[in-house]
Amino acid sequence: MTDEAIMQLIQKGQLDKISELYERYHLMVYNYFVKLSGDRDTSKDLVQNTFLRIIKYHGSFKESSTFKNWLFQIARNIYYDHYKEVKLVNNQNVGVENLFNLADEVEEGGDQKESILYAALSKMSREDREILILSKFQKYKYQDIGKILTCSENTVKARVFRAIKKLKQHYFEMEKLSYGN
Amino acid sequence: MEINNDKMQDLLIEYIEGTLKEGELKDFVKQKIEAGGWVAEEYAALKLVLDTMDTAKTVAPPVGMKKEFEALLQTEITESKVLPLKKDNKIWLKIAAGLVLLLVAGLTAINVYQYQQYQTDLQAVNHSLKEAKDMMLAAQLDNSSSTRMKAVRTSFKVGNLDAELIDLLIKVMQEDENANVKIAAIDGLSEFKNNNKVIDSMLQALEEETDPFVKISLIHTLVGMNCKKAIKSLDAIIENDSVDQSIKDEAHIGKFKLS
Repeated sequence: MTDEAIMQLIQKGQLDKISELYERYHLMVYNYFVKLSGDRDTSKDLVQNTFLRIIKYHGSFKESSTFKNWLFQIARNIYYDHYKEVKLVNNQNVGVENLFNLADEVEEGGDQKESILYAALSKMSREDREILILSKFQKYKYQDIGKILTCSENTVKARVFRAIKKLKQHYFEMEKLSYGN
Repeated sequence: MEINNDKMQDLLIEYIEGTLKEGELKDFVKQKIEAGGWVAEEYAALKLVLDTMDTAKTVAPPVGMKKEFEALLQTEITESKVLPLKKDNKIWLKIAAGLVLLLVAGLTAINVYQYQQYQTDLQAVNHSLKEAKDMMLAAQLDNSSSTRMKAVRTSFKVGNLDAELIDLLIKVMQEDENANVKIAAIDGLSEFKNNNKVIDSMLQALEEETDPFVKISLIHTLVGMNCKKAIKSLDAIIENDSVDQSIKDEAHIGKFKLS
């Protein structure tokens, strides 16, 4: 059954069907939050809130849109609401320490390149991090990201390319530091 | 063809992503990589970063997360349930009669409600369309570029833009004094690749526009819309000696992509 068909059942009152969508997407949404914030505990809570919000606002889902895009729009709102609540939304350094922790954990697992990657990501603005997470980790098409961020495919592409170039620069700076240590 | 470093990086990313179409441009990038030097080094560096992202492991969620959600869901469902009515067998006949009456009244009410709902929806769409138009018209008289930008962005949210709103966006693209506002309007118009008026206006703007950023944005958008009609305008840019080299580079690449 498609995601959209399940959403129709939820809209008809079968709220427990959300479990099926949770099963399909909770890992993806969790990774979106973890890679954005680096905070595992908060990410877990944000995932639960995302799916509970779907239950609450299922009426606003339109048949013409895809569930996955709608889900990530909700996830983004949840993320920004959370950080607004803790008054950290304008602090670009939020999550930097956590991302460094994530980098350390990955390194302990033996993957140094990935560890440097997270350290490099921590050096980037939240907007650049987010667009890379959606396009490169979550493998979203530029067109779909445009729908989530309400901008055109061309704008997304230009932003992704700019972010990749910045990430590359940070990656090799962090690599130098890493070998220096 | 001479291309600046920034543009070369873009081409390398497209090459790695596999989005460069087979043809002269892809061959050009391949030859540049094979020739070694800065391009080869840059290619290796970008590929390493992109491959690392591509193969990054999925972070596992904590154990019991799903179970916890199921518990939260049950609470949510229980709270949203309507309490059932108590059964009273003695008055079942009255209830049955009442139900028949309710059914008849309900069906009538549904019809009335559906009509009212349709009217409300229609009014809401018309209202948001009118609001966007009013905002766009008012914004044209506003000195603040951020207000004008907001108006352009608001028009995107309307969804199905009508001809009048498209005309307003075209006017902004052609006449606004702020480059960012113009680029926002171009962004909005990029959704109408089958609209000849939009395409012709963009081609005209490409010819007349003097701001390099807006000109480049127009090239990107027309190429993104796969507008073959733009090739002639791109040729004109390439052959014009007075045009800035960075714009010529974009025109070259755009032409390759459309050819």
